[in-house]
Amino acid sequence: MGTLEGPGGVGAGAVGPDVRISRSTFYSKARRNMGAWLIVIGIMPLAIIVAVPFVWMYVSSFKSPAEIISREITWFPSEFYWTNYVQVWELAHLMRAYTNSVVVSFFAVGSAVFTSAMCGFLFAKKNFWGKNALFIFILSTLMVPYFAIFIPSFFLYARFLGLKDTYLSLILPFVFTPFGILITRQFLHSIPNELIDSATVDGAGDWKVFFHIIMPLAKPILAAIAILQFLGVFNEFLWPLVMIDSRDLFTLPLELRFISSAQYQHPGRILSGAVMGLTPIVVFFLIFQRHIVQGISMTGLKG
Amino acid sequence: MAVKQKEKALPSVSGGPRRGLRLPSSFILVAAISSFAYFLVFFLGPFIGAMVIGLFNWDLLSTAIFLGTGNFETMAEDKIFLNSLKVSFLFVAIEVPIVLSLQLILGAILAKMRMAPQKTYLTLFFLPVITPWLVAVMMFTFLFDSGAGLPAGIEDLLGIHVANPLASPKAALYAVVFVTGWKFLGYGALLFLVGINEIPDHLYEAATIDGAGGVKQFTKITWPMIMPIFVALSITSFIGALQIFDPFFVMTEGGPSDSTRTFSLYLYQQAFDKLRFGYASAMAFFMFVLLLVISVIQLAIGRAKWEH
Repeated sequence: MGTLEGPGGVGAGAVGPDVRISRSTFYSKARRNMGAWLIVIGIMPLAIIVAVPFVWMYVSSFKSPAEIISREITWFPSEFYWTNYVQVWELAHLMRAYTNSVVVSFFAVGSAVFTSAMCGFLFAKKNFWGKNALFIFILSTLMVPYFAIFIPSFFLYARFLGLKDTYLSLILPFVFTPFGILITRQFLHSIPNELIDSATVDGAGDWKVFFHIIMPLAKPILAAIAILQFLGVFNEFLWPLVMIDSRDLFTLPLELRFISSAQYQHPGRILSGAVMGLTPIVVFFLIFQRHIVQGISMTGLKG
Repeated sequence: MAVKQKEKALPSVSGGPRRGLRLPSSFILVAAISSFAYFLVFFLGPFIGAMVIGLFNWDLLSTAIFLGTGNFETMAEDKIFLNSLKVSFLFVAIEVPIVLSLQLILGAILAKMRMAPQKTYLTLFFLPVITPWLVAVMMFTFLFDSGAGLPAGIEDLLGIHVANPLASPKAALYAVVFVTGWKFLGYGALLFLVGINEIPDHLYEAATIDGAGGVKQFTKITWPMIMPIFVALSITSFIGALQIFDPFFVMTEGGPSDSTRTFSLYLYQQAFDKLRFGYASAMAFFMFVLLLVISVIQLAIGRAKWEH
C-alpha cells in the first residue's frame, strides 16, 4: 500500500504554477519604498473609478425616493430607508432565484469537474483506438463560437428533447467542458506513469486508479475548473432567458432582470435588488478569494 | 516486498503485444463513448443544424421553406444587419485595444507593487469580474442617468453638463465600452500579473547591473516574456467582445436609433422576437466563418511575431 499513498502529494506540490504575490527585490529599501508608494498613489484614480459605482449603489439603495434623485451628493443616507428592501423582498422572489441558481450551478459544476477528471485521465494516460481523433474532435468544439450553435441548440433542447422550462436544460450544456478536459489532461501529463502502473500491478482497475489516485492528485486543477465553471454558470443569462418561462424556475440573473424592468420607476428598489443579488456573491468571493484568484490564474494561463 | 519485485519484472503493464487484442477497460469505454456522444449531440449536431437551418425560412412552428442561399442574399441587402456588423466591429476596435492596454499597464504595476496594498487593489479590481452582468447594468443604468445624484452633483461641482450617454446615439456605444472595460479590467490584469511574476528575478537583476531603466526593462524583458499571454488574451477578448450580448440586451436594447444594435443582439432579436430562425441561423453561420478567418489570421500574425 505504501506505493499507493506515498507519492500522493506529488501533484499538489510540484505541478501547477504558484501565484507569487510578494518576493524580495533588488533595490535598496528606501528607494523602493518611495517608488512603491508613488505607484500605489498613481493607480488610485483607476481604483476610485472601479470602486465608486459599488459604493454609490450601496449608499443609494438606502435612500428615500426624494433623496435618491437629489442633486446633492450624499455619501451617507440622511435616514436609512429600509422600505426599498422590504418592497423588493415582497415583490421579487430573490430567495427562490438564489436557490435555483445554486442548485443549477451545483449540478453543472459537479458534473463538469467529474467529466474533466475522467476525460483528462483518459487522454493523458490511456491508450485506445481512435484516441487522437476523439481528442481533436473535442478540442475543435472550442473553436465554435457560442452564437454559431445557439439557435439549433435551442431547437434541440426545446423541441427535440422537450426540456424547455426544466433545471436539466440549464445543467446539460455544462456537463462536459472541452476547456476543462484540455487543462486536466495537461495537468495529468506531468504525473509519472509509475504511480499508475504500480497500482495496476497491485490489482487496481482503471476505476479504482481514477478515484483513488487521479482524483486526489488532480484536486488543484479541478478546484480551478470548479471556480471557473461556477462563475460562468451562475452568471449565465442568455441561455436561461430563452429556456425558462415560468418564474418558479427563474435564476438570479432572470429575476434581477425582472426587477429592473418592472420597477424602472423606482431606482431605489432596483438598487436594493441589485445589492441583494450582489452581496452574497461578494461575501463568497471574499471568503474564497485566494482560491478564486489562484484558480483563474492557473486556468487562464494554461488556456 | 513481493509487489516491488513484481514491478521490476514487469516494467510496463500497459503496452506489450497483448494490447491490440484486449477489449478496452470499462473505464475507457464509458469515458470515450460518453464524451463522444455528448459532443456529437450537443456540439456537432447543432453545428450542422445551423448550416442546414440557415438555408430555410423557418419559424420553428410551421413547415420550413427551402430558400437555398436566399437568407445570405437577404443579409447582403439588410441595412440593419450591415449596420449591426459595423457596430460590432466598431465596438471591438475601440474596446479591445483600450482595455487590453489598461489591463497590461495595471498588471505590470501591480506586479511591481510588492507591498500590502497590492492585495487590496487586486480584490477591488477583481470585484467587477465576479459581479453578474445584470447587477453591473442595474448599477450603471442608474449611474448614467443624469437624474441620479452623482452625475448631477458632479455637474454642479465642475460645471460640465453630463447628459445621459445611453440616450445619445453618439455616446451610447462608448458608455457600453466603459462598462465592459470596468468589468474586465481586473481579469486581464491578473493574468498579466501572474505572467510577470513568473519571470525569473535574475533577469531584472542583471539588467539593473547593466544600467537598464524601468522602461527598457519592460520592453526588453517583461514584454517578450508575456507575449504568449498577450496573444492568447487578445484573441479571447476579440472573440468575446464580438459576441458580447448581456450589456447591450439589458442596458441599451440596440438604441438609440440602432447605434448599439450589435450583431449578436440583432441575431437574437431576429430569432426570438421576429421568429426568423432560418435567417438568424444564416447570420450565425456567417459569424462563425468570419471568426474562423479572423482567428486564423490572428494566429498567423501572433506566430510570426513570436518567432522573430
